[in-house]
Amino acid sequence: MSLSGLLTPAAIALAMLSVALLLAFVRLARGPSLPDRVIALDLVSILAAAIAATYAIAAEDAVFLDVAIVLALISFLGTVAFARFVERQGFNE
Amino acid sequence: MNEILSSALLMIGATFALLAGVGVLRMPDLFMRMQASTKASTLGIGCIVGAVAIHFSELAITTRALATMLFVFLTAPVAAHMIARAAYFVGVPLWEGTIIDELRGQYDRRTHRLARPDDPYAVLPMTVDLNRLAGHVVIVGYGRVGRRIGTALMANAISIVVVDDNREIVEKLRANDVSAVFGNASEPSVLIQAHLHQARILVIAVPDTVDVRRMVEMARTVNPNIETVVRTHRDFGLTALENDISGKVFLGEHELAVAMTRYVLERYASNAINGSN
Repeated sequence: MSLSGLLTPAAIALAMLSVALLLAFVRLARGPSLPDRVIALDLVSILAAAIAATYAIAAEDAVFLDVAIVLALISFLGTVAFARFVERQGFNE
Repeated sequence: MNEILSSALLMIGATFALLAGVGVLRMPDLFMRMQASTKASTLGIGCIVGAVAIHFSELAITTRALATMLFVFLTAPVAAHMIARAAYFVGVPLWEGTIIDELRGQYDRRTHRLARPDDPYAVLPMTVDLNRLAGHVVIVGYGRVGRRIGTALMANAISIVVVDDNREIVEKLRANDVSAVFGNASEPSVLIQAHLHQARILVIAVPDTVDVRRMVEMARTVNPNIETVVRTHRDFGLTALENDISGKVFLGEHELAVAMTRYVLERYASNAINGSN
């Protein structure tokens, strides 16, 4: 099992994830309503977790998987908090 | 072998994540964006984390990877549902191409709960003969006018489905083996229950106190080709209403006047023949 052998698919995966991250940021900036931005943010954090997991493969260091776990957790909590806020307050756009 | 498998999973996961990003950008509506982003990204991160587990092939790492996958699979749908519900409730606009909004009017504004009771009178029972639900006439309102129309149509062997917002009337009709749906006919879900999309004619026999125009609009979204026969008692806006629908508008007072005039004219004619005037 060689390092460079697995680096290439990981590099491609990282590139695709970065493009997805960029697209999600565009939606974050553009989204006409608050829930749009919340969804974009949720996607950004999940993608960040995915990037961390992919990097765990690329760097052959499993500790990055813990980063992914924490990011997934935070993403969920953040989205739920936003959802409660939106429902209680309404939103002004 | 491990390498190939984990590379493949990695590629699949990254593809789905990319699709999630594309979807969240390109979809025209908040809810469609949410569908794309949450579903695809959950699968994407699941596959990538699975690739990590296979790549390292150690028990500790595999356990953590499985825990991550389980956690994401359990929590991402919950989060998506919560934000979707909040967004719908707050009134985020749906895509213009939306034909039917099934949830409209179903939310209790105060308690924020979906107020859809399991009401047997709101849905047609499964035992209704399907032949009666095609090319039929939907009658909205079974009061003084609707009742006469309904009885006459049934006497002519035309199958009808009645929509009324009075439960007792619906109960009585069902007891007499007439298909009836309980609900407000300006809700598309009620019209769908009455199988409006397969009906031939819609008869609106409620007086103008109910919002007839809204009913007509809803009926048209459910079935654009339906012919509508409308009862009204208002002189105002007749031509607008007639242009809106394909069918006929009946002004109650006008029809009464016509019928009474005909009778009076006949009486005059017969009096003239009898020589007294």
